[in-house]
Amino acid sequence: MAEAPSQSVLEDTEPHLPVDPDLFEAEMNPHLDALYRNALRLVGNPNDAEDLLQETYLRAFRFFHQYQPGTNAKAWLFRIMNTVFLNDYRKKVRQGETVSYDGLEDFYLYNRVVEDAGGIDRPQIENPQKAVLEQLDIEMIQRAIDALPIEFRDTVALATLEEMSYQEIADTLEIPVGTVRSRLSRGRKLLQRALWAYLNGEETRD
Amino acid sequence: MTDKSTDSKMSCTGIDYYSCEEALNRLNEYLDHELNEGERMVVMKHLEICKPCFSRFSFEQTLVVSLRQKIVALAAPESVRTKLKSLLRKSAESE
Repeated sequence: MAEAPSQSVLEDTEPHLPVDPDLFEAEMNPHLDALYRNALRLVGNPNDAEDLLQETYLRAFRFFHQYQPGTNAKAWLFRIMNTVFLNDYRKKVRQGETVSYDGLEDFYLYNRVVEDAGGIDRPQIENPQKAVLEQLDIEMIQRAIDALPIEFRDTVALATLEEMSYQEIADTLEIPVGTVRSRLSRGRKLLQRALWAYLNGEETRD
Repeated sequence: MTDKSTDSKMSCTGIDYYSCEEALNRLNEYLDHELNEGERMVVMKHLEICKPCFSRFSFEQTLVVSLRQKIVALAAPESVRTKLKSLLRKSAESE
């Protein structure tokens, strides 16, 4: 059995072992798109996101010997990205908007849609919920995620968009699972509020 | 663990399974497949008999699914993939 890797990944003093690039790609490339999206969320623009992705990917390659096959590659990669980001991009951490948590309503978006549909007679729209969801586009979703305060952004995005389990998120962000739950609970309500705002602010776009 | 009593908007009465509030407290875990089988069944029972919650939960689920479906279109550009591929091999040679 291989030696257990040290808890702190990415110590530059670790010896570098030669790794087969094909093997690395087979294991890691299925997560490349998710990793790219994560980079975009962290740095906020495609250029920096590509740099961050590249740095993360190459670093993961150098430390591939620390990765235990069969364990969660996605969480491992995301954790490396967070480490690289915190080391190299700390100044660029985007704080998101300052939001008030007052009156954070459950089912925020649902309630708005129902109110909206009930307010006036709309014989054309058979299913207002579906109609609203169809209006959401990538840009709106990204903006709504970006607008979340930094402490909610990762957790909400990883659970909602990247379909990570709570344990994977806890491993990735190095926080307790209970914290994942509480951040999701607030964060998703904030997300819905932001989505509703963008849906309404952009009604004229084609 | 005690919860504050729920607000009137959420209530629907006469339910022997989870109350609306108890179901709501499990909304995220329900959406994220984090409930154990027993809890999931109790939530589903509640949704069977409580139409308002059924509508709300269905909406939440559809929202999550549609966000996911849309965001996957945002992929690492092909140029980046190509670059990573060649950088990886350069890096392997230099070791």
